[in-house]
Amino acid sequence: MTLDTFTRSQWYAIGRLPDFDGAEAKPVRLLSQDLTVSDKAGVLSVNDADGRSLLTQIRYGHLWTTLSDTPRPLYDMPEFDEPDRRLVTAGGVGVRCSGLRCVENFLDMAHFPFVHTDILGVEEHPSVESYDVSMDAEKDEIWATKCKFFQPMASAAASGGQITEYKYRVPHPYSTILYKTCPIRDNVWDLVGLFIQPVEEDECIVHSFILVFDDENTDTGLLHFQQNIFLQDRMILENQVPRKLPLDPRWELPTRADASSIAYRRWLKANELQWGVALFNEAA
Amino acid sequence: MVTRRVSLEGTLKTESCLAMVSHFARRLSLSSTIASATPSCITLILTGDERLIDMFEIACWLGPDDVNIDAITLETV
Repeated sequence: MTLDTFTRSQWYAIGRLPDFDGAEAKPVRLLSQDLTVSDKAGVLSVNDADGRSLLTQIRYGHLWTTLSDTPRPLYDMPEFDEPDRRLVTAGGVGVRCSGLRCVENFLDMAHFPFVHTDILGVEEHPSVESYDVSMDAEKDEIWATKCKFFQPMASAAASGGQITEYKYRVPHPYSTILYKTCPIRDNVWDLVGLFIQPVEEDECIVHSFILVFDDENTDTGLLHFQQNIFLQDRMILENQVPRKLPLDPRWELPTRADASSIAYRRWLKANELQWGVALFNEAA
Repeated sequence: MVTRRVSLEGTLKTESCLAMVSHFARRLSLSSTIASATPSCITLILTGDERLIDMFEIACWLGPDDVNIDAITLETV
C-alpha cells in the first residue's frame, strides 16, 4: 500500500534518547523505510537510505523524526512541564500487528476484566458504562471522556480497588494518551501513553511512558507495572486477524462500548489514511 | 421486541449503504424494511431486540469505505 499523506506527514518517536548514546549510523526502521541515527557530540541526526537528512526533534523523552519536509505539528502535552511529575519510559516493544491496532486496543475498556484480570478489572464488574466521545476540530484530535471503570489495582500507587475515571486522547494516528484519576492527589490526572513507531503496515514498535505523581514506587516498580500490562496486551494484539486494522464495517460488529474505536476509525477514514489498513477483499 | 424508524444521513452511496444495512440486520437477526433511499438519506424500519437495534446503530456509524455517515436518528414507531 502506498504511503498516504496523513501518515507521511506525522512525527514519529523512534526511541528514547539514551538508546542512541554514541550511535554511529544505528539502523532504525520506520514506515517500511530504513533510516539511520547518529550521535555526533550529543547531537542526534537521522538520515534515510539515500542519505537525506530528516527533520528531528526531542520531545517527551524520545527522539522524533518525520519523512515529511512539511510535517503536521507534534501535539502538545503541557503536563510534561509540570514539576513533581515522574516520567518513566518503558522502551520499545515490538508487536506483530499494525500500530493502528495498538491504538485501538488501548482505547478499549471492555477487555480489562478478561486480559488484565485483577489488575485493571475484575470479571464480576465487566460492564462499560456509556461515555462521551468528541472530536476537537481545531486540534483535529479525538477525546473520550467520562469513562469510568472499577479497577482493583489501577496503578502501581493504588492501595485497593476504586472506580477509576479516565479520559482518552488520540491526537495522532499512532499515539494515544490515557488520563486517569491520580490515586494520591485530588483533581489531577496521571498520564499513560503510547508513541507507536510503525515499522511495516502490520508490525510496529510501541514506546510507552508513564507521567505520574507517585511518591512511593521506584522507577523499576512503575516500569514493571507498565510492562506487565503491555505484555498482557501484546498476546492479544498478536493474535488479532487481520494484522492490519480493518475499516470496513463488515469485518466486525462493534457495540456501544466501542464508541471511541468507532470515532478513531471514522477519523482515520476522514483523513484518507490507507497505510496499515486492511482491505476487505484482501482477506475475505 | 421493538420497532424503530432509523434514518442514516450523510454522503451516502446508496448501493453500498443498502448492502451494509442488510448485512447488519441479518447478522443481528433484525427484521428490516427500506422505507426510502436517496444519496443523502436512507430510512428503514427495524424490528427486533432493542439492544440489538442499539448495536445496529453503532455498527452503522463507521459506514462502508465510500460512505460518510453524518447523523443517525432512531424514532419509536
